[in-house]
Amino acid sequence: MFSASSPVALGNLATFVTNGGNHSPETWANMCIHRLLSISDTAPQPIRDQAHAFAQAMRNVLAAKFDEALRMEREAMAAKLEREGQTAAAIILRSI
Amino acid sequence: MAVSTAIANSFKTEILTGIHNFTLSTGDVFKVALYTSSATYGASTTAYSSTNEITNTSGSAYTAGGATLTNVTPTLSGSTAVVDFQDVSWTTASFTANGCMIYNSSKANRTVSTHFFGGDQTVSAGTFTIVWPTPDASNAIIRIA
Repeated sequence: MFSASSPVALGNLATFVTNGGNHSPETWANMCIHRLLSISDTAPQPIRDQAHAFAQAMRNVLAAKFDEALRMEREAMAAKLEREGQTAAAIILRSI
Repeated sequence: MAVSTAIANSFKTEILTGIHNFTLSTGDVFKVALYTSSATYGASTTAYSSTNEITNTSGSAYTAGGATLTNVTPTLSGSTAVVDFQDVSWTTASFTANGCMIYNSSKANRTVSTHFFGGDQTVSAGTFTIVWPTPDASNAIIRIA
């Protein structure tokens, strides 16, 4: 007799909360890491350490790039507002 | 009492009778509803219920029945079939949620799974996001090995 088990398994979701506004670039980076990388608690310590270091490196790059992207997007919108004669609105946008 | 993290027992037989279709665009519409700590849904839950579903403490970011999920067509990761969704957010939100239920709104609101958040998650005039896990053989939100 041959048999095999084929379990239906459930993964672990994560929740991210930011009060008073939208998520920061750092939070977006953390969400990306949750999606891209999973580090087993039972992996050998050197492997875990390396994986955590890699995750932190990715986190730093992602946060910086998200911040840069947001700033460039706001600058593009501010420039458009200025061209349309909405200088005050452009100043507010650049101050964010 | 709280929502427990579990695959609905009914879901296990329903996938064997071809009830659920997770295909992007042409498949069923799945939703995720949020619940308070008074909810007691888990493996024996068979369908969505509004009992102990959260309500907004201010504003109207959350609507009864929850948010519609965007499917990701199931794939194989090695020899494991995996289900994934796009992450889902509520913005300008004010509420407290303790867990959630994924259910199939195209098929009589049949429960897929329930998930405990680990405790109350409170958002105030902000953004609440559910991020699904890495869609691979070890971590995907739903997987069949």
